[in-house]
Amino acid sequence: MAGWVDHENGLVNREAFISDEVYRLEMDRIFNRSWIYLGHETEIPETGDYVVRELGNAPVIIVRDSAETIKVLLNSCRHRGAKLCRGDAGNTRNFVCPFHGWAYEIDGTLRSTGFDHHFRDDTDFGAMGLVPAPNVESFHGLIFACWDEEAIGLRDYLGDIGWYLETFFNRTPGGMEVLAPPHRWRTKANWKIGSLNFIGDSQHSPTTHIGPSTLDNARTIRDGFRKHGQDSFHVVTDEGHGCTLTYLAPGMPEKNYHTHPDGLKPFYEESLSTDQVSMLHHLRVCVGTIFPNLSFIESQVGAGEKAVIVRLWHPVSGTEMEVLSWVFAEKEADQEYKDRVLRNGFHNFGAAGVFEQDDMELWASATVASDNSIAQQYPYSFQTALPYLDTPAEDHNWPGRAHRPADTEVAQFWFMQRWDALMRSNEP
Amino acid sequence: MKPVSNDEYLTIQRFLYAEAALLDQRAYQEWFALLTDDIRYQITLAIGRPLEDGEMNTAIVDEDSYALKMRLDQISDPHLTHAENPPTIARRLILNVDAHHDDQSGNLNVTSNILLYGNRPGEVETALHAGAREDVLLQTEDGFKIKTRTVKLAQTVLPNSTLSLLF
Ligand code: FES
Ligand SMILES: [Fe+2]
Repeated sequence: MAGWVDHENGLVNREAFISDEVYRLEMDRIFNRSWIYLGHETEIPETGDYVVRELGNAPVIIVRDSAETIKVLLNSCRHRGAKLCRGDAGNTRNFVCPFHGWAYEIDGTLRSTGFDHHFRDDTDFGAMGLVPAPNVESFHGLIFACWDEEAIGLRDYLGDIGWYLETFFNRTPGGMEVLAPPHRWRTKANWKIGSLNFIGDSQHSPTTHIGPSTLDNARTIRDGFRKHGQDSFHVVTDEGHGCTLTYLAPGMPEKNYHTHPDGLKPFYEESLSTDQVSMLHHLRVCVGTIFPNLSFIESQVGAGEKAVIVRLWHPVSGTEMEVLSWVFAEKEADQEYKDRVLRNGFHNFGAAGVFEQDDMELWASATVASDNSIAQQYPYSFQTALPYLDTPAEDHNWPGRAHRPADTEVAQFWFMQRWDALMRSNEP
Repeated sequence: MKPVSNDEYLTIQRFLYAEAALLDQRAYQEWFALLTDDIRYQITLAIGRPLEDGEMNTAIVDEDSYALKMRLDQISDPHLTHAENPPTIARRLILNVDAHHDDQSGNLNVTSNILLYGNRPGEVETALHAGAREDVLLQTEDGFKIKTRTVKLAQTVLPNSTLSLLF
């Protein structure tokens, strides 16, 4: 098989999910060129607040340098490279390098080296600030940055998936807020497994998640997994984004199904379009992925909470990722509701989540079992995408291209096709 | 807050060892019986903040008995778990135990360090989690019951997948 993705036959070479060489190419061709999610504005509400993350594989500081603006700065001193911030988060008035004392303003400009008088007279100190990411933009509080100066704007990059994102992150006038610092864990699996899982791997739910779906009757998860509503579908959009919307199936007992809290619905009507409001109606769960490695899920958790959870599948190597997981609720919700969303959201989807623990076990097992030359002769199958790829639903009036039913691999293969196009972009 | 007597100390220590042994042996229902109905059970991850900010943690588990029961039912049933089937071979080491009487409530405030060693079958690398525990124990006719437990993990990032075991 030439290349990684066999478009004709719905297959993907396992090397794409194992190789450190592929990981290095991904950094150049995808992560240093695409808009990458870094965090949410509500994590750094005050001037001087910062969090430390990675953009591609470069360490960066995401800092609120004024009430309105956020900067993303390479967390490495222009003198000899030391980190300005060595923790995860904090608040500061400026960045002073602990190594030899170069001092930077909060927006990254160099204030003084402490030895300015020893530099040649023509030294351009103005060009010696902390390296800023050239592109930083927010979408309803979600902060993205991109190393590529030539990149298209964030809104254009998100395109049609923005309509869906907006329904989850801008559905009340106050917007969504992060309820706690993100959970972080390492998993010995390739980052794309996470992105694929969330863009639309409905097939894994009944088997991987047989535990919580059997035990938690109150959440009707089992019924939902077993029979997808006729209205459930995958949506795919340009740039490789997509989501899967699963609706309450006809005949499913409504008694255990919880709609969005009554108290919040008037806010939704105020902030969203009629179509967006009807998208939320009887929505059981929505999962989605913004190419390359941001995912989100809205799901009922607990007895009557709808949690919105954001995931970052941060690549560490060909066979390892660091996962970050944030829980969100509407700013307007009362504290008691937010506490329940947080507790129950993480019970399901946190660093000890009853869903997560089985996902991670199986993703790591798929990775280790594929990491050998024999297994790599046998590509991964995405074959259930093929019969549906060219037949989008014609009656879909919302943005993006919809595909029914919702338990095929259409969205996942869509992601891999976009990935393949970018990975080949430098080929002669 | 008065320190417990040496005799009391030994009884408490014996309870903590027996309770950890139940978890090691995956006798989860027996272990669950040692919790009060209104148990609050928390596990936190540390956040790396500047020294002057003081210690900060974020909860990764914050559960009542209903949620804990589901968690334990899941990892007890061979058909309902992948993370624990085959099971993690686990050993819990309980160290640095200290205990005080809470004069107001009559409960015992017990602190200990725990080291959880968990090996997935076939893997050479082993997960090691160190944590500081703060328990409130109730003295009942049937012996001690755990009313609250907080496990502060000495990690900012879980190094080896998610947690499926309790401390
Ligand atoms: S490395 Fe920062 S001042 Fe020298
Ligand atoms: Fe899953």
